[in-house]
Amino acid sequence: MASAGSGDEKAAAAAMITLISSDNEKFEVTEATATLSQTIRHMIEDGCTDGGVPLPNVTSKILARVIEYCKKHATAAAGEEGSSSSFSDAAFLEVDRAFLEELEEFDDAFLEVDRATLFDLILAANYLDIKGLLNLTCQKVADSVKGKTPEQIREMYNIVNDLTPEEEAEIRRETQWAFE
Amino acid sequence: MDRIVLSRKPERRRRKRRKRSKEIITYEGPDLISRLPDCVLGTILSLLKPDEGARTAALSRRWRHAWRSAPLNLDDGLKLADFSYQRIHAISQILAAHPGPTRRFATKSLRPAPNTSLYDDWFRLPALDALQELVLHFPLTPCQAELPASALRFASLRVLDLKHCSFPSGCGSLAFPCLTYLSLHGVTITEELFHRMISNSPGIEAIVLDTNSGYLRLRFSLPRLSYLAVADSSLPCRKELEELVVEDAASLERLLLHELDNGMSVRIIGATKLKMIGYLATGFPIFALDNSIFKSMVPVTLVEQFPTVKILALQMPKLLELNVVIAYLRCFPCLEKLKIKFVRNKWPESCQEQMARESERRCALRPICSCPVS
Repeated sequence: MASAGSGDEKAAAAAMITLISSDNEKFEVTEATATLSQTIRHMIEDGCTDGGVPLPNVTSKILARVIEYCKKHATAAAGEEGSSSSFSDAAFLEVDRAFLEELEEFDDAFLEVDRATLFDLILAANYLDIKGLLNLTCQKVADSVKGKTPEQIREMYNIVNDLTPEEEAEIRRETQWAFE
Repeated sequence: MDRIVLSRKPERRRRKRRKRSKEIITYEGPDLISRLPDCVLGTILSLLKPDEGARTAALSRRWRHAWRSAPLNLDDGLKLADFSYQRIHAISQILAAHPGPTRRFATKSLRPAPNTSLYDDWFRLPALDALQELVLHFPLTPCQAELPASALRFASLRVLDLKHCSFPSGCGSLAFPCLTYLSLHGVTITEELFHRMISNSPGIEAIVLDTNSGYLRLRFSLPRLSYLAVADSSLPCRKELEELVVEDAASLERLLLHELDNGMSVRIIGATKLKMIGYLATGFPIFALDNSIFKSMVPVTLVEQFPTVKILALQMPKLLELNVVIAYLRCFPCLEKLKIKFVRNKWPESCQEQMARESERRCALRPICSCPVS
């Protein structure tokens, strides 16, 4: 996860990539922003981005949000790494923290979306292979089911229980340790 | 490296959300979560604690095998606690219930003794063969635990984070070609072993070293290293680290040094991307960036300027004050943030006077030009 340095950034600033959403909207982004997506990075490496990169699985509404995330994180990519050192002296990390707080606030605000948008963002992050965005959005879903019983999770996400009572009893027996 | 971000940030968020998540909102829309592809469902499940992940098998047919087919993230999620007995039982159950592969093994709740042979059995499990993240924090005990050699057998490791244990004397190759993050805290490792591990792990991007023992001089070259944090809070009488040299620090962006009375000499070579340095304190006998040298934080030779450095943190006794600070501004002409922490005088008067005289003399020798600080 090497970050673009100042020298590289200058070179990358000139290189612009056009992304085309499923509803045919065009987005111009810098290469540094676009390459947060491993999928696009590979396309650039293979030299097949002339004339734009069609993204038939991503709508313009979602792509705009994804680009917003990538722009923010492309400039901060290096700052994200190695931030949770286990030093006993917390004050020592004060300086370091200033580097990251802004990004945390951005991420928090970014996640304030309705459920359908959140799942669309997850699918887009998976398709475009943007690890940070995938983890961020999946973490939000994981947080939502934490500490819940299966019944509560079913209710929350409208999951239909298609297990027979016998099957469910068997599963609970197999995973009894997890229900203790 | 994503785990590293996860360990602080989401915790804060989690706390915020836990309040909200007490009430269960009934939802009538489509079952979006069950429609996610297997790999994404797996990502979500591996962000849960193992028991929470395993319980989702009872949701529906779609979920029945999802947890078992997703990579296992075995993180006890605990701070150091004296629940060793139950924890060991729980971990054994999880390892028995999940066929692997295990992506992350993290525990902060286990006592080293008397279970070392049990841990050895765990680490030998084939389900752990492709382990990517290993976090083992043991409590501080008078007699340090020696890691079983099997704990260091994973060539696939990306994260290695150890606390309060010692490296086994007879560990083999110690090569982690995929390693990006290394953190050692209160760990005993010989100089020779440390250097061997580093030179066999050329992809390291972040290193955290906090009060380890067994080495006096560290010298390494890691062209991808972007983050280096070093602290040594051992007592002055048993100083553990005397000298730290980073050659070819081409990617180094953030350098964190613990505020020390009795630090090591630091020499960083070729750090053309350095953005942040903190805290520079009088406790570092020599701090050298390429050919520019600071002795006990007084600039003695300023050969070059470092325009990439944007954040600088200094810790100083009051007496040194302005002259020194101005000299730093000359050396780092593009600073955006300067943080100065004044500490109570821990130095004998004579020593401070000498430092003050030194700084005056140097500043007189090299008249200070205008500082383009915004």
